[in-house]
Amino acid sequence: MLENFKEIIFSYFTFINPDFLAVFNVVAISIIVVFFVLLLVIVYKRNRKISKALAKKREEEEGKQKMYEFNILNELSNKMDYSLNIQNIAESITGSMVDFVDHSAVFYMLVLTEKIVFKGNLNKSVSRKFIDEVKQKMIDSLTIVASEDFKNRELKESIFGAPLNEQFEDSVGSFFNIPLVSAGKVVGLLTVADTRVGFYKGKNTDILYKVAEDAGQAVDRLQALVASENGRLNAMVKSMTDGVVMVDMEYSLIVASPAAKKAMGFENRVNLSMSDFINDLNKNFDIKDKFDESVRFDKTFVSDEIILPGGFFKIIISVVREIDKPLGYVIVFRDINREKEVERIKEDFTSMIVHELRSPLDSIKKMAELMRVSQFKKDKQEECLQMIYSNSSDMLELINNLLDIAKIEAGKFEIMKQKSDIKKIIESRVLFFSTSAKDVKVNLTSFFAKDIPDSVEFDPHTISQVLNNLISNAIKFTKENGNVTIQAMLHKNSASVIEEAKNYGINWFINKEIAGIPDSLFVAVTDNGIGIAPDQIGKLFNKFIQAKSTFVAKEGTGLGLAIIKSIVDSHGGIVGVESTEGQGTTFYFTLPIN
Amino acid sequence: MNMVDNKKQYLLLLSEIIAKMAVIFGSDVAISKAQSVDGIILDNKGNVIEIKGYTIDKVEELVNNYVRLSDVTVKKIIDSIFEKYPEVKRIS
Repeated sequence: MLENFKEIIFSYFTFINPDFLAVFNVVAISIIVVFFVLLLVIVYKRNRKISKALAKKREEEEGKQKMYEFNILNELSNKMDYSLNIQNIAESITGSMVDFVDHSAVFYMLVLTEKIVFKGNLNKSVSRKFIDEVKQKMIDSLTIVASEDFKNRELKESIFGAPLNEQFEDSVGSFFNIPLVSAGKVVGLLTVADTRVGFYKGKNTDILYKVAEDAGQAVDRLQALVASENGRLNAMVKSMTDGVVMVDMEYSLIVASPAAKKAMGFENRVNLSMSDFINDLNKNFDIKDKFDESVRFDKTFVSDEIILPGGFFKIIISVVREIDKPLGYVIVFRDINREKEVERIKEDFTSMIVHELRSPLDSIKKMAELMRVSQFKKDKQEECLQMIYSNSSDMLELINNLLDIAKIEAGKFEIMKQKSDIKKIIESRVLFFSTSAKDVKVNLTSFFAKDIPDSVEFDPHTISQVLNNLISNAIKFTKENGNVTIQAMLHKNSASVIEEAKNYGINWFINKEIAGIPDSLFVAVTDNGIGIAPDQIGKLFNKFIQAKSTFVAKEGTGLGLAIIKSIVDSHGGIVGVESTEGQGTTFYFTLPIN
Repeated sequence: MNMVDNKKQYLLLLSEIIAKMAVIFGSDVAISKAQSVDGIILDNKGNVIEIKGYTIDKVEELVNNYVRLSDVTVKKIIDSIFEKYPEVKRIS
């Protein structure tokens, strides 16, 4: 067959002129080449057109998708109103879901500190069974993503929208969950459910995941902004002496200052929640009840005094509002321990003063009654008069001290500085107390360093008062055959007081270096009496607190030392005490010489 | 581990990922995402019965499909699933 075909072709071409055949070949090949080129151009152009059309279609689809996404986000953001609350976001999305995807119902579940919030919006009537199934599916999902068991967590459920259909037992045919993420953590779930089986298979639900993710990120950005502001607020709250606790309307703890934790004894409690506060405060009052009252009556609640682990407190509860909407509560733990302590001290002080006045007055009264009796012996009269004199002097001294304290409190205590000789004043005081010292068999002496100037500016009257008080106290607290010494030396600025004393041959109980004293007269009253316990020394110069001594009977009002401090302070000097319990005490004061 | 065992491990791994994602996102979404991966064949219960093509690529494609839904949620879960299959190569 092929051979026959060749023969026919050959006979055909041999019949034609060879030159014509050559020209024909060239033309034919050219036509074929041109044809193929044209074909290639057409195919290329067609392919290009198709590619362009496909790209355009893809772009259009992408644009359409983006526009759809933008519209949803825009609509949601308008509804969210720059909300910082993930619950508001969940509310907005569930409320808008009907516009985006067909469903029987949409739900959200949020994990809060205290409880789980489960809310459903029914687009169509569904059964209770349907809702319970969705709820269980959401809990199952959250249990996996949050790695937490929610079985025992309180669940607050609310269902809105279409009425429940109790006639049928419809089940969840299909559903999909959208995790709600905030601050890199799954905080809840949004679930769209339908009674139709496989209804969401192949449906493009990606947009809704994107919406939820974008909304979560928007919340995070806003929260980051607020967090920096909160940082400043927290620093402020932490520095407050009063304890501050802030909670939202769901009783989630927002902030609890260290002072509030201390008040409740929660310093070391981990994972602190509002339940801890509610439960522990419940012993004193129902705080939830007070929250409700504060909201209902729009007033601040102030409690009576409450004893908490941290002492005495008053609790103040206020509602935080944004325009009319309550946002949460502020609980202030007002520390009244100091006030209670001052109150107690003042009560003790008043009792002590009353006692100190009543005792000598009582003695005077008894002496006077005794003297009125006709048989009263003449030789006892002198003794009685002496006792009346002594007791009335004590009373007068106490009243003078009270008047001085009152003047100091009122800022009316004045000193009259003049050129005075400290040595002469000390000698005069030693002479004054020599009799009473002799009576109790106490040896009273004085010592003056050689370089003490004869004239220094101070108020001789009030400094005499200081010496009187220190010497009388020293005699009072020194046992028989003990010693009381008044020593005076010149202190040079920046020199060591201890070294200076050693150089002058002074013996006393000052063992700690006293820094920062300018050039001064340094006067010390030292006794080898009972000494003072270290824990009592700090109370010595407080007018309302009386230091305890082992000789209870010899305790005074303690006002004298408070007056001494005020007098020395007024001279620009310092006053202090060092003691070795059981061995003796040194009280000292300084008077600047320039 | 021979080739057959290795393939079986991958089938189990993918099936477990899909099952877990079905609880998290719902079975419609989880299975749709798995079916959209060319080369992963599922039975009617959502179990992976065959993987066509380069296995690691298919695993990566499937995981990425879920990550696109919620990366925070999925990454944490996927890590814990991979820990149960130490022989299979982890995706980055």
